[in-house]
Amino acid sequence: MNTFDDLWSKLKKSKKYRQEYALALLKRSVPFQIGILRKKHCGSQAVLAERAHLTQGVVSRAEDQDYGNLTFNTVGRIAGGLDMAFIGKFVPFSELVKYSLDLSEEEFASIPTFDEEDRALRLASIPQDSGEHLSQDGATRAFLGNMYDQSDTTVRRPPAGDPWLNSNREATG
Amino acid sequence: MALWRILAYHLPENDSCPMQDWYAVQDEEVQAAFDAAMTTLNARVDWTDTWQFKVLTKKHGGLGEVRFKLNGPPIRRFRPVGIWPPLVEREFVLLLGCEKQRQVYIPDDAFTLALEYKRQLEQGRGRIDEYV
Repeated sequence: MNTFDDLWSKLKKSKKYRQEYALALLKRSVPFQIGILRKKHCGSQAVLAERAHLTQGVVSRAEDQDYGNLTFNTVGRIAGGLDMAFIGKFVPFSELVKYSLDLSEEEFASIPTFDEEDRALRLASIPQDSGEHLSQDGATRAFLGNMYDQSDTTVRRPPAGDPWLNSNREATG
Repeated sequence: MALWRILAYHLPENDSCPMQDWYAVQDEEVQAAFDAAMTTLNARVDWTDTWQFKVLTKKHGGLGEVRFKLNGPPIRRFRPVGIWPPLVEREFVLLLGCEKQRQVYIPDDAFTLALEYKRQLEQGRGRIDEYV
């Protein structure tokens, strides 16, 4: 089931299968993400539990792909403990197929925390000729990678009129 | 892009695929749960670092089982079995499907059969093909 057509043909079989697959993947992919992110940013479940103001047992259950009864409250608290956001959204099935085929631990391991993202945004707003060097931090470089063209190493700068970034530039200037 | 290539074993006698045959007779909830379990496994480089997969040892050495369950009621546990071809990274060959009820497996000779399929495959009997 490694191609769009393979999975799409299964989804076409019946509405029941589509519902069950979407539900099963939702229940499995969120714990999968939590496990990957927890290992990268916190190490142990106990550390994430402390940061998220939960017990270690709740974090353990949240990483259990067979548990299936995670609440938005727990996921939201865990996102807070990781200092990143969790958004659930409704999508067409073609998006589900794409998500299934593209799912990888590398994708989630490269999500920056707020501080990492903030640092990257501030660095991106530094004038290129200022002589300041970009951070060598992995997450920052990964984030900054999204701000570059594939063929062009020019930083895509935020709009000049963006007051938030301008205030940051002044603050770091 | 999936990190792993998932294959399935076909018998030498009639080219039937025990894994596909097992999957075909499961209800759609089980099929969907298995497919979702394979999707998240496929997203990991290291399968030994998750409860979703177990490397078997002792008399079942050389086999690995994919683990997933439905919360029911009743709770149902499943253990499709497979092997890794030698010298090939990130390939997994599904041999057969299997359900576990307490300490009993359905089919009850699942692991004996899996070891037999493994032996046949090592002898060049039967074939492997993409698992779809």
